[in-house]
Amino acid sequence: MPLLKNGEWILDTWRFYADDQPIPSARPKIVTLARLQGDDGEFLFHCGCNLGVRLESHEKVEELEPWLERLQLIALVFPKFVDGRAFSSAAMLRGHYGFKGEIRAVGNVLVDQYPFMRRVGFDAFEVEPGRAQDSWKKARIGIGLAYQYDDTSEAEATAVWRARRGVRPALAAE
Amino acid sequence: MYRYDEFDARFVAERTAQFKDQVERRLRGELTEEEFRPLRLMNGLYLQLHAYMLRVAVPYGVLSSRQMRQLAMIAERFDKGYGHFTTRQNIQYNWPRLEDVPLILEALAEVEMHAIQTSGNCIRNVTTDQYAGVAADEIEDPRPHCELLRQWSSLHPEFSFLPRKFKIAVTGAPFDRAAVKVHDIGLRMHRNEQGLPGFEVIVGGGLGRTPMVGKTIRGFLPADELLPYVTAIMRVYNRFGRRDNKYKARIKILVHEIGVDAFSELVEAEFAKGDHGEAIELAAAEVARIEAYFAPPAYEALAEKDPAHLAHLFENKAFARWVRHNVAQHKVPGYSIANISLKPTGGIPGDATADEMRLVADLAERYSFAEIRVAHEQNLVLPDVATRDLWALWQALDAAGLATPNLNLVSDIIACPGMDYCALATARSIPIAQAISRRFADLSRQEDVGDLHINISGCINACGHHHVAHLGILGLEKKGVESYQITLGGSADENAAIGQLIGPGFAAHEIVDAVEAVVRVYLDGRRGQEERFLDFFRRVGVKHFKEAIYATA
Amino acid sequence: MPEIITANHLIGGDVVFLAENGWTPNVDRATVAEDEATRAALEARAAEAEAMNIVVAPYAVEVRREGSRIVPVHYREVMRTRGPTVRPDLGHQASLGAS
Repeated sequence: MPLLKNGEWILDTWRFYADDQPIPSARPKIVTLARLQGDDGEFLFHCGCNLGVRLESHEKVEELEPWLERLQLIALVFPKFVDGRAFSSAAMLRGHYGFKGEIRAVGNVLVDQYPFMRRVGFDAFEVEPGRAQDSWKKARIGIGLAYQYDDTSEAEATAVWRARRGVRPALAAE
Repeated sequence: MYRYDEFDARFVAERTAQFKDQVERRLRGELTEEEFRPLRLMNGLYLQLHAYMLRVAVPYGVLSSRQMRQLAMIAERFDKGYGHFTTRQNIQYNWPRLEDVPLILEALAEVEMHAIQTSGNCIRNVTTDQYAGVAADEIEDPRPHCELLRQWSSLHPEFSFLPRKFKIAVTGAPFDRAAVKVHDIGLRMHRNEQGLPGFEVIVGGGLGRTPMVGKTIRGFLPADELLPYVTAIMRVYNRFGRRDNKYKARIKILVHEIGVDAFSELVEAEFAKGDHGEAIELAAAEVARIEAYFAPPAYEALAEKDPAHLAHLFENKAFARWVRHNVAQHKVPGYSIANISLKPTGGIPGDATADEMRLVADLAERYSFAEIRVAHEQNLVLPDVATRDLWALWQALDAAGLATPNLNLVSDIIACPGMDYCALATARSIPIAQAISRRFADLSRQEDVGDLHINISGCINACGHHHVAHLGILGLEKKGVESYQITLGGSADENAAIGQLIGPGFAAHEIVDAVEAVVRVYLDGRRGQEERFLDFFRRVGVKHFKEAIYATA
Repeated sequence: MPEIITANHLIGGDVVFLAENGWTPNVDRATVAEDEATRAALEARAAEAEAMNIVVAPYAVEVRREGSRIVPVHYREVMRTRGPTVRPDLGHQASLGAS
């Protein structure tokens, strides 16, 4: 699946393994929360390669607490683009937990949601091939101005309230 | 009032350009309707019964003369010469062409307006008391915090794909004109013992098919903690609100299902997690910056009583009547708050023509420091009129048919557009409002009846707020024809209550008689005129009405 | 049955009905399907028009004939053929002079 990361389309080195798929030992892999919580969950960390987890929209980030420091990637699923729970999951991972690894958006990921996703902390976007991907490739991808102070993507966004500090109201009032 | 700085202007310009691009992609066929629909809804563009409808945000109901003139220009150039002021202090255009919408948005941006978040499952336009900043009974001006919330909620990255729409209302006065108890979040400003400003936080109110009065989860929240606290509420709702059934997706259902105590614990736990240092600091700096815009205008030092005004009151009965009903007390001596009723006898509640908008803009410029308010009752307000100017103002309004002296009377009816315009409606509301207004056209009779609020909704979604009317009317479809149910005893103020159904519905041709019958029951049974309709209802109960109404039918 | 197909124009938003040679604002000119096969054919044409971004959200409406007029059975659809009942000066009723 094509992956947009840091503004570039790259080859995805990660692979997701559903619960019924056997897991190879030596490549970066994404597993379900159920697998991580299962009997051999701990074993997954012992193979010496990168491990990520995939969280469905109804699954809570709190469940990941025991492993957060050892996970390199968390994939948050958008089953439908209107299901906005993953926005809170990402915001909590970056905010409360200070998670520094990759937070990847997967599922029904619309280009028009990109600014919102970036600003809550997503940094990789797994876009389904077809129409959705065409629109991603056509669109000018950017964030633009944002008011919210809890923005985590200062590199691209201008957080208005921060920028205003030092700007005198008289200037704006004309 | 608030003015955009370079950032606000750029923010709206970017969004306008973005939607223009989306409309062009749609017209070129690069976006299907399914893909375009959520995008147009984010910009307030609906497809209604006869045409597209564009809902423009009037932030917390405050408009400048310049903005009002631009709204008139848009009505004339891009619509059919009129607009409709809504029960959420916004304005709707009923006939825009899709290809014109980018131009309309550009025209709005020129006067610091937009249509962002006037629909969709996001935080909608924050509403407040139409007398904010000028009411004699006000504790604190709510507008700076409304503006703070407006900015904070604009394209909020975490809360733009909520389970359902989300409405916040704020009041700074003890007498609640903003219906805060029937909003997803209602905020009432208070001062604590130390004199510091803060909010009582009320959650889970709402109308629609499951009407509920909100519950207080914080008696006093220091004002500077507002955003972190609201963030905590929103996060709990976004994570745990139901998404399996759109009719159970509002926050009121979550609060109801898990209980207000459990909900409150979740919010407090979420709130306690964060270090809100930067948030509080930035918000405090913002509020201070915003407050400068809401500094009082240059009021003259006037005497409380103006002799010429008193003489006009004495000499002209029509003027005196208008002052009695439509003018409210201002906090500054010698000033008044003038309400402009958009409910002429037999008129369409909330509709205003381009000419009327321009006249109101002119009058605001001449008499009210160029400021206008939109009330959720679908009337307009000139908030800062010198009492001595009321006579001249009234004459100008009266000449234009805008001086109907019926505020809070039977004919001051709130009505949603209903099936005359709305694609969701199950029945018409406007013709019912018109018929009631005509039946009660005699003002002396209205005055005798006194304070009686009639609200009409054309479907269960309750945009006409019928649940919180003293006399509510809900239009439904029954066996292929329109049918109207009556509820009694609702109230939208600080003693908010949901109206009670009196019984089976009435046909369209029966409903006005039924309303009149309700009024007769009240007039026959009240203990003098001092006992208002709502007091009477609370004393005798719904059963009394039920027996009287259906016995005679 | 009988049924006609209605939709809104994409560009203007106005209510239109599917007729022999395209879409018309005049309901009396709409093609009436008296049987399933005709309706299916009309629906296919409507779906094509939607795919070509000419109209939005087409759907079938039950009607009855009153002389030369075509009148929807449901009052909501009657209003859609005319315009707001509270503004007889606006909508199709104004331009078409519908009764």
